[in-house]
Amino acid sequence: MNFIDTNVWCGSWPFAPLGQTGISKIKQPSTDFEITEVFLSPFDSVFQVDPMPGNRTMFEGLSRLSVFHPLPVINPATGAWEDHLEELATNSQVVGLRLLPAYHGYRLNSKAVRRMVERVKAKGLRLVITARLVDERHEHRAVTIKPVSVSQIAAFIREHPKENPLIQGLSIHELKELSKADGLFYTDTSFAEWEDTLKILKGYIPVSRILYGSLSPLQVTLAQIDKVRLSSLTTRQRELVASDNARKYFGI
Amino acid sequence: MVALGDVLVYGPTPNRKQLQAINDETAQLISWAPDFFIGFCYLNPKLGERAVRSEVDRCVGELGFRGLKLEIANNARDVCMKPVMELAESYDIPVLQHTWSQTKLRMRSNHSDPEDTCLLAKRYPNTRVVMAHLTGCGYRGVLAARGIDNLWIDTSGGSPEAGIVDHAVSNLGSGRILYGSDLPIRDLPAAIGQIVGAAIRDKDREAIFYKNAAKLLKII
Repeated sequence: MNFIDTNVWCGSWPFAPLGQTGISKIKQPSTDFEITEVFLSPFDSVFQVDPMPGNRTMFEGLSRLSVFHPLPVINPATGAWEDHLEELATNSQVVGLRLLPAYHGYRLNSKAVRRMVERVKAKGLRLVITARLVDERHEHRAVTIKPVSVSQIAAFIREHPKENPLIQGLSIHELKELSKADGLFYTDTSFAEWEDTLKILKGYIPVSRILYGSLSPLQVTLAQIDKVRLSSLTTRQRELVASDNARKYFGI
Repeated sequence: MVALGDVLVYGPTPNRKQLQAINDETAQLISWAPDFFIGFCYLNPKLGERAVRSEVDRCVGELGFRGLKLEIANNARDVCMKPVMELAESYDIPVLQHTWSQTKLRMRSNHSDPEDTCLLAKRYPNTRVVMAHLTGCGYRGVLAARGIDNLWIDTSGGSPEAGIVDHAVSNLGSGRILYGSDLPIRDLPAAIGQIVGAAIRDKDREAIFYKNAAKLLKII
């Protein structure tokens, strides 16, 4: 079974000894686990206000590696986001942009986000919203970040009914709650967990809207792969989650 | 498989009747597959020595349970742990203490930090203590557990975070780590995959998945 991983990160993470997470290092595990393509975002853009240095470093590293799709970070809380959007949109490899509202300190109903959604849509790019990267109970003492709330995401999808964002990093309880919202969204498997996760999750969200995402290297890739590979869903349903839904969603 | 019971069904401080109901359910589970399930007796130490003794005698002495399970009724440092630990020693059974780093939770009055559970093990060196939830204990918990010969950590709890199993093996040795799934609130393949996918040796995996627990529970 082939996988397209929609939630992989490169660069250094300050709070855990994850080893080398540079682009050349993460290439190997991808082939080990039959991961054929990867959507990659830079850790450097998480903790820096200006996400572009991290994005540019990632682009340089990816130029010769066709299995990686860059998923650069944009920060609408900076005055330069429109310039950044123009620069990112000129890169033909870019099919989507990642938002980190919790780490960059803005709300999804801010004026800047509203304007940005229209501009991003006009450029034909997908929006990926990271609700959390780490279980907030396990954050470093210095970090006071709270995940993006379900109510905030629900309001966003209600306000932008045609946006169909990919929401990553929600627990299975949060996804159940969000599924009641008036609006459409896609999600990934990174933080959703229960006994036979996908069987439970498909009770709330159609299989066609669930994408595989590992949150590697913060989480163990094999554990995330097996959550899909060994689920009780039919082979066809597992293939949709593993790769086909991502291919369709991002148009790759 | 160790069956711990539906421990929070009545909240963090169940009364005697509620405890008995939870443990009766575990006993029923064991009766369905006695070669597969190993029961642990769930306790609320705050109910006092007499209630604790009565339930341990019933579950361990009569029903054949092989360990004690503690949740979030109290902190592992509390004096009410004394009869629990003395009974565990007299029956020669391990005590599994729910533990989670309180760095962000701040519920320490009834919720044990890794340092609290490590202190419990040090106070009762003749009793085997399992500190539950490696991922919840985190790197600080692993470092606190160094050098305590009667302490084990299980791998359950939280998402399959990378690096923590590797860190535990390199700091404590694989002999101190037990596989735990936290079923049904966690995904079984993900719980197993966290260990299979860790950067450790095959012989360490074998110890974590089976040998350590088998020795601790006196299966082999």
